[in-house]
Amino acid sequence: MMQSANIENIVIVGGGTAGWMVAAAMANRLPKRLCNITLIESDAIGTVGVGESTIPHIRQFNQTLGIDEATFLKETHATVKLGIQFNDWGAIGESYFHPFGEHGQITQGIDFHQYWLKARALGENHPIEDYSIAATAALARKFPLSTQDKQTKFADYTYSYHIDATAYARFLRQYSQTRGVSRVEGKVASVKQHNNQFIQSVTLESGEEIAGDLFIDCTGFRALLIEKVLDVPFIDWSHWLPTDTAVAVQCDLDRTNTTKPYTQATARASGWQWQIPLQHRIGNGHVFTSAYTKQQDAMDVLMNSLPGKAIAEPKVLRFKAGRRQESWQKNCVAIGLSSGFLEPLESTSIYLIQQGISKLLELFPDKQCNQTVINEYNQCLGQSYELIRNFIILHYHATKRHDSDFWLYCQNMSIPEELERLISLFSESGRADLGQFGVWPAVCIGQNIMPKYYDTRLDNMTEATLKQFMAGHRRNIQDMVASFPNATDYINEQLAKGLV
Amino acid sequence: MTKSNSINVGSASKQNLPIKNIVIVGADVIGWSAAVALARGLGGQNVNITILDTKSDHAAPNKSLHASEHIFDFHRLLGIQDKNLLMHGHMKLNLGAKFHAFNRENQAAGDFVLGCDRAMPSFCSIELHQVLAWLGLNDPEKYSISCAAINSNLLAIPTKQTGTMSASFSPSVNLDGDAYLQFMQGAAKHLAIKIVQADIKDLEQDPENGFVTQITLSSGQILDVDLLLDNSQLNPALQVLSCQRDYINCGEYLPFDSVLSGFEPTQTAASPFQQFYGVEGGWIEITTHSNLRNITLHYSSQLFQDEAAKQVILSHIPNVQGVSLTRKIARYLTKPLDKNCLTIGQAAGYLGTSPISSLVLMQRTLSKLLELFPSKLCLPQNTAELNKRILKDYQEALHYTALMIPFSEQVQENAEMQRYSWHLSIDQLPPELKHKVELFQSSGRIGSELNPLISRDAWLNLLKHKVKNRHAYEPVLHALDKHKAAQFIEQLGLQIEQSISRYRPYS
Repeated sequence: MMQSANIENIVIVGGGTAGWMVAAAMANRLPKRLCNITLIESDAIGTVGVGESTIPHIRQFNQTLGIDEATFLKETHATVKLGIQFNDWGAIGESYFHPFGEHGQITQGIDFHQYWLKARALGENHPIEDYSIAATAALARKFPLSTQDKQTKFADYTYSYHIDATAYARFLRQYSQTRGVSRVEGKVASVKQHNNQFIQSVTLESGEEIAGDLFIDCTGFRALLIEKVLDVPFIDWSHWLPTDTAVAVQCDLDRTNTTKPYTQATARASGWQWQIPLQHRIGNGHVFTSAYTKQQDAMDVLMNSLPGKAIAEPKVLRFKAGRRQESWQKNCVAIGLSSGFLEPLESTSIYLIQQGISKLLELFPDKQCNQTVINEYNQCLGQSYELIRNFIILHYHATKRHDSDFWLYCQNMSIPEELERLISLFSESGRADLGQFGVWPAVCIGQNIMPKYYDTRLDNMTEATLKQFMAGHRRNIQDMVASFPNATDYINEQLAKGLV
Repeated sequence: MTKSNSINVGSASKQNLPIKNIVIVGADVIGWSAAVALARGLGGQNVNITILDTKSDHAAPNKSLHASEHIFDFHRLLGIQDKNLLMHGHMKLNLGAKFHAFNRENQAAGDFVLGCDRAMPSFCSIELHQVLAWLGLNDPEKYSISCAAINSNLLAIPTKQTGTMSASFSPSVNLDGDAYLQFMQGAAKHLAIKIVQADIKDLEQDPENGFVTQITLSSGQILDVDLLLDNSQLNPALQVLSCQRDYINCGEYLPFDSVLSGFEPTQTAASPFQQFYGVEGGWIEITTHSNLRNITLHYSSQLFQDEAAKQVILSHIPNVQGVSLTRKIARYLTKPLDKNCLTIGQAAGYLGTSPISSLVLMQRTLSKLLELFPSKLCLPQNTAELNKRILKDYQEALHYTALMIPFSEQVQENAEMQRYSWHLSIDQLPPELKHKVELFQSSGRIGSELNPLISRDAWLNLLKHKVKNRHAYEPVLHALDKHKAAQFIEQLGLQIEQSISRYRPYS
């Protein structure tokens, strides 16, 4: 066996959420004896602070790093999240909930939503949310005290957080620095490459040259290394996801009310608006398409619908949906926005950073950066991006809204073939492909993709038995949720634990 | 909340009726197992399941069946207690296989034992095989509990206890074909499965969609059909269906189109492993049961005369009996479910009797059928999804078999080193498999998938024997304490020895 030389110096360019997540995960996983980790960031360059809303995988990340929940909640001003409420998406006036966890349970080998479809055919009109613990608890602003994910007799559920991403990055910076990551303040002025195009070093404006064997590009949309130096093209998906601007503003939180343990995503004339409660404020934003709405109008929509008094100036952010053709090329791996951008509708930014990190650590290279390993990484990451992309397109495409040119465009645009297939599969008889991202029945049904047929095996169940089964299910969930405390109590309890 | 309802599900579903009549053609062990699986899986449903035992589908019964670990999942679905089968000696646990003469070396140097370890221990969360590569220990068998048990001819039973060495392996089984068939027939009796013995006289198809609606039997009896499971050995009466089938031919990878098998009754102790021998025209598989040894030679008729093949068998087992020859092409169907006919068994695909047998592929197919159980209309999207899932299994079975049998790393290094003409070099492998091998070569890594036929650990087990030409191991190891790693490995060796000392002899 011819082991090539080890990577001794890792250089992460760019702080922010991605940069510090990479630094923390690497400092935790890679022994100090193996390599030095340096992170270059400049206070002069702002961070995007992506994704204040997250999905449950972040808990795994924290767990791997040995970060306990109480500390995390305290440091990131986090609240708990049981899912996303989508308002006005399928049609104006409609609302549905995408919960963390399935509805009901597979019973006699048949998916629960098939029972719901059959009950619906028999005239029952309870929304499918009534059969989800996460959705029912969330809408009642309740949260179970136990931190364990529950697999109950009736359904399973899990949870995630709303966080202050900037605070999270700050916390991880401290975590990384105590574990030996060196932080260098400065802006990259130039980049040197070896003959084989591998990056040799970056030179800062100060003249300091920092050499490395592996470079992680966490420079956000600027994609300083992966694009500006290595010229890896960006695959543009904006024809499928045409939103290109977000205005974001924080507002006051009415602390007398229980925090909503869910994200709200309300569709607007040419985009949508988010509402994300933290412990001390609410994050708000309006994602829109500049071709269909003027920035000022979008700003007005946002400012006129804030749930509290604005506490900062609104920020404007421009973006384009798509991904880097190869996230990893030569000895440079792009993680975070430099690797791709999918709008925050399903709170996936941090998750995609995590995917990049865990694949990189799983396939951690030596100095040669073997091409087979690189191909494997790029293929896996590409799949993750595409799964989520398709899932987000689904929200825009499957709508009955025709109140604006934007929604008409989304309804009529051509969609990726794979998504076409998944929609046909669900709309025929409520089947979902394995390994999809998100809870497909919740979103499909919520977006009015109502299967034409249900599983005909249920025709052997009498109407009375089915109705009894469904009612029992609802009752059990209601009883269970009634015993849960308020969501705010949970956070306070955890915070109190952290003080001890 | 969502209340709008554009499509009236109720009225639409009236035409989409549940399946009531299922007919399975072909009453061999696969047909019976399928019937039992359906009856169990559709428990509470109002279905009639009929097995049609036609004379034309009578193939020689298989005395020896091999099934990978998946059979335990299947038995769980069926509510079958594995210990009943084990107790009566109808099922023998197999901890792996010994491979002889597969490599270019003439001596035993290239021989290896393939164990069935799962969830191997790790050192500082780095996989064992990486640690062994780092320490330059090139004998993975020494640190595998199943290999140790095989080499000592011991019976090791997996336990649920964590922390014990025996917790982490996953045996395959050898089944006594006759006994397993009787067992399934017994189970079928309690499940009101009907058996009809007659030949097919006529087939009625719906003129609109080509669905089979009725089968007229030679006895004059008429069977209504909503779903047909075709487990026939290409029954001529079903030719109207089978002639339209498209197969993916795998002869390029598995050129063994002839199967010569026989057995030798023996009271000598059975062994906890299969044996594979590479020979000029193909390969030999020897499986032991409680009362016989079964031998199968898979060979290419291009490379071997049938007479020569017989001599090879005789040279391995001089007292071999009941030698029979069948011709089978390695291939699988592109659309296992077509209209309302699901093809199962050998007509659905054949990729050898080991490691992934038709029995296991049928069992997985049936589980998938139950997940996506169709209605009378056999809706097209549902059918496409079901076929996609089934095909993935066949593809994986092909890849695993191609890696296990014909792949040889030496071929590429030097064509003259090629021992058998059926050996495949890395460039001759199917592209996905080639990538898998290259990834392992590059750094000992393996990708993982959702609900795979071959688990990540099973791939690892095989790859570490077949892919020796590794360029690198996990780089993180360099930062670890080599001395401690060596201690850990030594400790592991001792633990294995201790565990082994508690096992009973296999017989």
